[in-house]
Amino acid sequence: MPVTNQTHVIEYKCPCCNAGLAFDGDTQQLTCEYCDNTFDIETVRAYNESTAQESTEEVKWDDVSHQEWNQEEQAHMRAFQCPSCGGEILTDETTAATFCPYCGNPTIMPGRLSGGLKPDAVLPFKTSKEDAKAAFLKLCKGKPLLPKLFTQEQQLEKITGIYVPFWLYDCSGDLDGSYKATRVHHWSDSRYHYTKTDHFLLRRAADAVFTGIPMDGSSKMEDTFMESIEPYDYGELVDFDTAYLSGFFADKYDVPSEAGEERIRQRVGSSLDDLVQSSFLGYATVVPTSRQLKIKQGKARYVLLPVWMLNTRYQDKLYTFAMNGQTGKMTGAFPICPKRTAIWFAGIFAGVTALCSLLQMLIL
Amino acid sequence: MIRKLLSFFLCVLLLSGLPLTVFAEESVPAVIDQAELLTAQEEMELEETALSLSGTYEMDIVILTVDTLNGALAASFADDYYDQNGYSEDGILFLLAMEEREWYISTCGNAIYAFTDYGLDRLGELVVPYLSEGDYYGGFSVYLEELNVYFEEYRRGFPIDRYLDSYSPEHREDVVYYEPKSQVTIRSVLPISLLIGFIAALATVLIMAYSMNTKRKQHSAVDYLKQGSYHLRTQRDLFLYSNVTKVRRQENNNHGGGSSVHRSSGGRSHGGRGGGF
Repeated sequence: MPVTNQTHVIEYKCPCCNAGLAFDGDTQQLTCEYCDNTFDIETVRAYNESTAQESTEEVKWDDVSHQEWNQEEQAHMRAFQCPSCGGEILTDETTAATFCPYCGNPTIMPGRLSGGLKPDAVLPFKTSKEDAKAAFLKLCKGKPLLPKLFTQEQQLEKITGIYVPFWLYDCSGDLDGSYKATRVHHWSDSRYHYTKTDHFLLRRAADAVFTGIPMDGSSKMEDTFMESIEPYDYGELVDFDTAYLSGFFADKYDVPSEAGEERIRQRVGSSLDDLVQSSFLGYATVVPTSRQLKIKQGKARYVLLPVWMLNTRYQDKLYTFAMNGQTGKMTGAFPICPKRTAIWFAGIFAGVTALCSLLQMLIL
Repeated sequence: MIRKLLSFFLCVLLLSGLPLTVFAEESVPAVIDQAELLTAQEEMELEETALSLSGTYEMDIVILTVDTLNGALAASFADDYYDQNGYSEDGILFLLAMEEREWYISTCGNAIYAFTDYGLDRLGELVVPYLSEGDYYGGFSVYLEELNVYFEEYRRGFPIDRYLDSYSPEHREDVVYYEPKSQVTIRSVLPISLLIGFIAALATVLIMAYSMNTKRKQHSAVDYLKQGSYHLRTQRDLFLYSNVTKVRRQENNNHGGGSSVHRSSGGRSHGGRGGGF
């Protein structure tokens, strides 16, 4: 039985027409797409709180479904009742904000993001669905290997704004390494060319503090994808408020902060390697011989960061793109047209060969 | 644009080939014995040898004997004679002046490269003893025989020269060095061009394909470095040892050898060497 003894579902109602409100990244306000009003988050929250007493307590959870569910489904699915139309919203266990499949109203499950699960902060969307679409179309431009039909028959299937749960790690890294290095001098006299190689042993110990290295805490999101749209400007983080989620999807974390530590260690390690690299002055080669990396004072904050996910289909294959909901940075993998690749290869091959031959004939 | 460039290159190629065909000329005498030092038979034999050498190596070979230089310098006399008597751009002239008892070898065009200062010195040393003894035919025969060797070495790409840095004749105003001219044909340049073309095409396409996927992991976390928190505690560079390797220098053509050149009154470049006998 998909029992929900979790609390209630929030829907931010328009104080004017009582329709569902959605957060708008451009204006940083809640807007009503029916009566075209916009409201400050504070206003709406105050308004909703005053009406909450009646509305939320009226919601009585009953055993919504009488179907038999298998164990797996039971374990992963939860049912909520839409406060607007009373329809049943089925979600998986990590969903914190979604839309009612019947009336389309934005719906939030605050129980998923309260108590110990409450995010420390949220970074509100700064870009809109249109921005995401425009960014995608722009990204398609200037790609000679992109199949012509990919852009021509472009049908963006789905553009979804998601608040993705992220862990922001604060830590300090400590690198202690030894390196073998060489320095090379050349000189000549009338008979010989001389090469003198000086060998050195270098010791380097360095430490640095890192703040807010992000690691996505959702198993649904590909880690590579989430890393590729970094960085976010944390200056715009605000205290968590469910109002920001309205009109977007949101997930709660299902990957504990410890799971990302290995990756954080890697990234801190390469950062320190790069930094230490700049102290190798005047050496021809530097080869590490031993390297000890310690991560100290690890601390993880739980925040929700905005991501646009775009799905498009080409030749029955799904292509997914992700856009940073704050900066608009978009990444993804485009299909490569074999025919165009072959044409480009042949063209460059022939052109360069001809040019090279001509130049050689002229110069030599 | 590419088409225009191509046709331009083709024009240049065609034009550069033109002079060769236009100025094909009838032969001029190879042996001019104004001083009457040779018998008709000897003159004919020398002429024959010289002409066959000319044909083989595409250089004019001239032997000139005169009674007197009329006060001119042997060098200018030889240069001017070569320039003003319709000989080709590449050639070598041997001048023998009886009254002044001087000899002079003047080289022109590619012959300058074939006969370096060192080469001319050696040639002179070889021929002069015959001339001093009055064996003019013997001298010229040895000279022509020797030319064969010089031309052959030149054609192989290694003109006879002294490749030692210690060798440096005292008075050298202008020195030219032979640089091997390879036979460039489309067949000889095609393999390397194909290779370059292949690598360029592969690299470009790979870069293009790589840029199609921007879904990539971050390399480091340097974006999240707290400003001013990086601290290099230890920085110790310990010198261990050094070793020295030496490689013998490539013998360099541009060192000591080469051919001195000067300009004739006609403005043409000539190399040359002369002396008394």
